[in-house]
Amino acid sequence: MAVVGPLRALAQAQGQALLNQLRREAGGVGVAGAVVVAVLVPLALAAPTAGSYVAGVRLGGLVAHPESRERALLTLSGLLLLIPMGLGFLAGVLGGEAANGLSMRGYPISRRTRLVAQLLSSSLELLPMLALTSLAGLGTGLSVARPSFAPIALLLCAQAAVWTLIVQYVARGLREAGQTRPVFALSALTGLGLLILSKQSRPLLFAGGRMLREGLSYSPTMFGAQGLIDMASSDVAAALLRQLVPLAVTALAIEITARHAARHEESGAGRRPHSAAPERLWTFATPSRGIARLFVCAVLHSRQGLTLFFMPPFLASMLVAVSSVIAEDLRGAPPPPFLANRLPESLGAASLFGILPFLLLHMNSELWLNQWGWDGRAVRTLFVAPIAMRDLLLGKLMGLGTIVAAQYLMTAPLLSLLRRPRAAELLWGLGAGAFALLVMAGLGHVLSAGLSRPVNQRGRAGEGFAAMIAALLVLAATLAPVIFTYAISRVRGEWGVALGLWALAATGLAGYWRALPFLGDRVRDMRKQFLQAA
Amino acid sequence: MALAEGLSGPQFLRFVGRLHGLDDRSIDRRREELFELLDLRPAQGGLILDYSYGMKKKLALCAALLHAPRVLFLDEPFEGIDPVTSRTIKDLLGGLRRRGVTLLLTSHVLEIVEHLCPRIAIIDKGRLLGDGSLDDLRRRHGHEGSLETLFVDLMGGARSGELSWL
Repeated sequence: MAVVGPLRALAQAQGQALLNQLRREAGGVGVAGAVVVAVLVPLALAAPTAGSYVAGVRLGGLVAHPESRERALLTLSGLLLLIPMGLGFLAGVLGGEAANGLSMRGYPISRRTRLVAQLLSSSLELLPMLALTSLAGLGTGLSVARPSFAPIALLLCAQAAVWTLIVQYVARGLREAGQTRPVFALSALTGLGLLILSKQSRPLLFAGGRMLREGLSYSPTMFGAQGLIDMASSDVAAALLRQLVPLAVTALAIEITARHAARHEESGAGRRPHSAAPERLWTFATPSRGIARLFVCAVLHSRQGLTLFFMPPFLASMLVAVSSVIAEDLRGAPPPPFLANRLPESLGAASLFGILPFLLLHMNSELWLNQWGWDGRAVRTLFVAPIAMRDLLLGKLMGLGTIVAAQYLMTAPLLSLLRRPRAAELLWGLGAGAFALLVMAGLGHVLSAGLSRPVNQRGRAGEGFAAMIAALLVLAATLAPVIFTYAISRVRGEWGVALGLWALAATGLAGYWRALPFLGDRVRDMRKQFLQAA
Repeated sequence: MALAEGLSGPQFLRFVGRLHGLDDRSIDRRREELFELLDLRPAQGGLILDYSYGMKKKLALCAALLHAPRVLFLDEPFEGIDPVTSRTIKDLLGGLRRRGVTLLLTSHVLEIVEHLCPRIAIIDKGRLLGDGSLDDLRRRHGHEGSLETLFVDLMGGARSGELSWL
């Protein structure tokens, strides 16, 4: 029997692990469940991919026009740089240990093979996958806008994909060396750059936008992107010559990374240094505040939790960037494809800030539906500790509220770049969100006890579908009263809606308070069940 | 050895075997032998992340032995292992040693170290306190007792006392 090469073995093992995870996520219901999850995962990637595709088609059209050419090239060049930088850094900081070089050192494979395998395997994680699918969408969009752009556009996007993987590898190395803060700062700066690029006409961001434009004019991506103009005038040779600059940068980046990886392995460096500072113990005024802090820490100290936490601001940034590219109104340029030309207008008209808290809560359904799971082993300690069940439940509610509030504070300012929010809209959104939080946390306590599973996704048969049905039921239980209240109070205008929804939130709080003893009893009854699952 | 927890035990061993240049048939044959010997019976399709600590230890040992190494580094190989399998592993390692395989193992189970290792090094916080055969160590430190008593003496003795609130 033939011997399988190391790269193929690594690729097959990665594929197998992914399939195992899909089966696990489907609740162990076999191939059918895995197929359902396999469809759901790409759906999660669909929005940024579609957005990038639309942006690609739009930019392709603008590049073909002399009037809009320069700005379009700058934007394209910026996207090709900032997507890899932003998502690559975040992936490196938040990513798992799958591509950790030290963990694969024991195997008899060459360093280069190991590096390639690590880069490829990291592409299966969510954030690099988001970057890769976004770049694929961008490249496809450019190619569709003008088929002659295809070779250059796809080459540029493929290189940006390689940069994403390299950046995440470097950022992971920095994280292992305990340098998390600089990496976060760089990510934040990159995100800011993306926003400046997308809103370069705003006076507040003008200075930053000018600096960024100056920098981008000399970037390797700009050299490569200018090849699109050559392709538009059928000068293929010039277009290909221009690609030498970004290709050289890619080759250099790969070489430097490979050399660094070799040095890193030889020295065994990169392990986080142990802090000599004494441990600072937590203090909190009430048991429920302590539980809230425990819950928040459990979520933010896990890879899935962090990804979930940063997903709303990331999606908001994408929305702002794509909407901005579409909104570029230049005479003679072709309109954006499909319904995308109506996106900026639709976003302006939609009650974005009203529905935001509600959306955030539902994007966190894994948190409220799996509240006990996020504490993992701490659940055992909590249930044998002398803590009243009421405090435990209140603590969970406060923890969820803290996480959603932090997400809101990150996401709302980004969305305000699309349009200025109205005060009444902000108010009614927060009222609806407060009501939804109470219902979700209340029902979530009970559902989470019944569907409890640790964060590492140990599950029981059928759990995936049961969780999905539970999520739909809770969605109905939160959505119906909110829509009803919205409908009846709408006749009194937006301030009337705000008043109505805050009244609903107050009713929800009173109901939650009254239901707390019952919820506590119910969770206590199910304690044995979820202790076993934990 | 870092285990790929998203794989099942057999899948992981196939992955490790392939990286060592073994063909799939040899890997499967060796895996069956190893599982039988170490009494490792994972559930069909169960992933490594579901394995108990002892099962993970056994699987890591399987992965280390799969390619017939000439040098073997083992970190606490008996930790979390049941007494019967512990004896099996001890016999297996003894057999490997007799066949010329170099073993370097770290352990806090000093009774096993005493019986298995011809050469012992005692390290405390990165400092080498003693090195040699058990007889050498006894002679050098003027000690007649077991490795455990020698070890405790070299560490400065065990602490004793009472807790103020009990």
